[in-house]
Amino acid sequence: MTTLPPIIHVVDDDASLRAALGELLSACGYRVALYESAEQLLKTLPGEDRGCILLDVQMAGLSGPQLQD
Amino acid sequence: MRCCARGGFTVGLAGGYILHSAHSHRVSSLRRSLAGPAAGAESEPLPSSVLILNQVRAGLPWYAAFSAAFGSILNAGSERRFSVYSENLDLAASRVHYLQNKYRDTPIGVLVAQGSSALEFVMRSRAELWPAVPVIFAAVDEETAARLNLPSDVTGTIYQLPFRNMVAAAQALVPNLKRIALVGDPWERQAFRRHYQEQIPAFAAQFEFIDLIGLPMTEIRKRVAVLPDDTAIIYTGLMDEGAGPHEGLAAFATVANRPIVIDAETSIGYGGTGGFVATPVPMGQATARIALRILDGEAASKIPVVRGDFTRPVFDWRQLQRFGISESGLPAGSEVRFREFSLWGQYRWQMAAIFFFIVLQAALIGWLLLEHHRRRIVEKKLRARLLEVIHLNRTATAGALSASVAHELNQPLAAIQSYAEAATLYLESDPPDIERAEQILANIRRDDQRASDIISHLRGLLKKRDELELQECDLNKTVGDALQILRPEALKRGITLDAHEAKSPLPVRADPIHLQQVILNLAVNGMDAMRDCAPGSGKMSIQTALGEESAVEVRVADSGMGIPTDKLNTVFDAFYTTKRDGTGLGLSIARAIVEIYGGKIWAENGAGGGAVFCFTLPLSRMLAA
Repeated sequence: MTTLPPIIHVVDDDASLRAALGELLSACGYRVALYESAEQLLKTLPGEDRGCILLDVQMAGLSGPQLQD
Repeated sequence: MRCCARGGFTVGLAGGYILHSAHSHRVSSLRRSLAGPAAGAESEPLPSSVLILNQVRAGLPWYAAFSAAFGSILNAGSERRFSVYSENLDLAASRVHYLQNKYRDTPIGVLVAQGSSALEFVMRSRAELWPAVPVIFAAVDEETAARLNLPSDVTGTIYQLPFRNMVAAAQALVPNLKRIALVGDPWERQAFRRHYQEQIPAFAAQFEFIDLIGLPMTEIRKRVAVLPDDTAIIYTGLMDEGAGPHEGLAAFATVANRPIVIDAETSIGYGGTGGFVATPVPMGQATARIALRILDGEAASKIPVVRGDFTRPVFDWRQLQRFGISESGLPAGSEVRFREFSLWGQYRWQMAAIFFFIVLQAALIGWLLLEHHRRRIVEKKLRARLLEVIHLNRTATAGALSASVAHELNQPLAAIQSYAEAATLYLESDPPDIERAEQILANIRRDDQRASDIISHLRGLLKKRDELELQECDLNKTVGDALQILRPEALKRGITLDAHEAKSPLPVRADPIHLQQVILNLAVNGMDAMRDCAPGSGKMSIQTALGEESAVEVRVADSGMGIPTDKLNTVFDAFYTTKRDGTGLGLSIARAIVEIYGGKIWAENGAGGGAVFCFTLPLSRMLAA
């Protein structure tokens, strides 16, 4: 059983940019999870499968730096 | 013969009439004379009655004027009352008997004979009629008086009516006088002017006489119309044309081509140009004064004959005008009658005043038109300047929002970048994933369109307008456009932006960019007011609705600190600001724009705190119910 490629969590409130980033990262061979807000990420983020989180700074609701804190 | 043919009318006139006599006096004097006939006539005062015997016929203006003047002096100059009777001696047959019968019971104090032929008649018939009654004559010329060899108890007034006066007047009227046309009755029928015939030959060497004497009227009218230029007409009276010599004059004067010299005041005004005219009033007055002296007991033989001129130069202004005769050439002391003032001469001041006011009014109207024109130019300039200021404000707003616009623009650009890189990777892989790449290209086109939309939006906001571009637009769409710009800004500021648009379209007539500017100004103002709110707590709502009275209403509410009640009106004033970096122009320009389109704008405080800025605009057409 081959190991799964690493997962990158993309959080951006702009739908097209989010989709574009997802497209680029998956073309690079990563697994991608897309979230439209920080709150959504917190709600659904699985505990063990962390990988990497790509955050937009300026968002409605909880902003990037706030999530980081 | 013509005279006899008029017998029917002269009978009536021959009846005596009384002038200026109170009825009671006449009755009493008659009664007295009837009661005491003749006895001791010398010692008693003369009877209080005067009989005027006029030659020719009654009804002539001359006699009426003479008798009136005579009567008024007679009764004004004495305490006694006198009866004045008047008879006209034109009834040739049985005059003596007629008078005998008529005045058998009426004693006469004084007899007045007016005119040469009347005096001749009296001298002839005196012995039969009134042998002892004193006689006064009037309107008798010097020659006639001398010829009659008058007895001592006959006195009176002698008047001068020399033909040279006529010539002098003719020369005054026609300076280059060479010919004189004579118009009048035959000399033998003349009463007053018989002596002219004897005086005319003296002037025969000096002037050529055109003798129209005795011609029928039709002939006279023909001849006087074609007289040479150096001619004057001398009129000596035509008795048989109408009521008297004045009517005879009037019968040909209108067709005469030369001025007419006259010698009787009573002919003035009937077409004669003028001359030295005999005046009946002073003659009647002078005669009455002599009569008074006699009636008061003075002997007629003691009273000398009065030689008066009784003529004065009188001219008719209308005739002078007709023949173009200057008044400066008239004899000294001439009286000019019937002067008609020209409108200008008569109402000079009034006309000048009216003219002045018309000019003044015209000037005022001109000035007002000029003012109006100037005002329109100024208004146009002001409008252009306002549009310029509005544009500047819009670019400033765009500048203030540029950071969020740039961020907004950056999103699709960054997406395109990522897509492009992803597509490259798919194409480079082995085998190349063409299907995936094509899908990505579609996404790139979509994002590029989005970026292009943002740019065109910004360009519209920055576009300069020199004139108002009125068009019908849906206010909901305008609000939507504004929201596209406002959303990134609200996001940047952490403000929640809600929009509640009316369900029906809201058509208004305006430049949509201007309306968008109003919404942007109000919204940015509201966002600035929430600057001090806790992050994420700011709320803004933009609402459109169909208002009352066919107007649409837009409300921009914020959750800031609101506006002090006394400042609700001031906030729209230019340069009023509470912000450290504010220009104080945003709200005042919003108001200017709303007012251009006939709307109203105001501020109020929201029920749940914060300020609400509202404006209305008239609906461009009635909406279907």
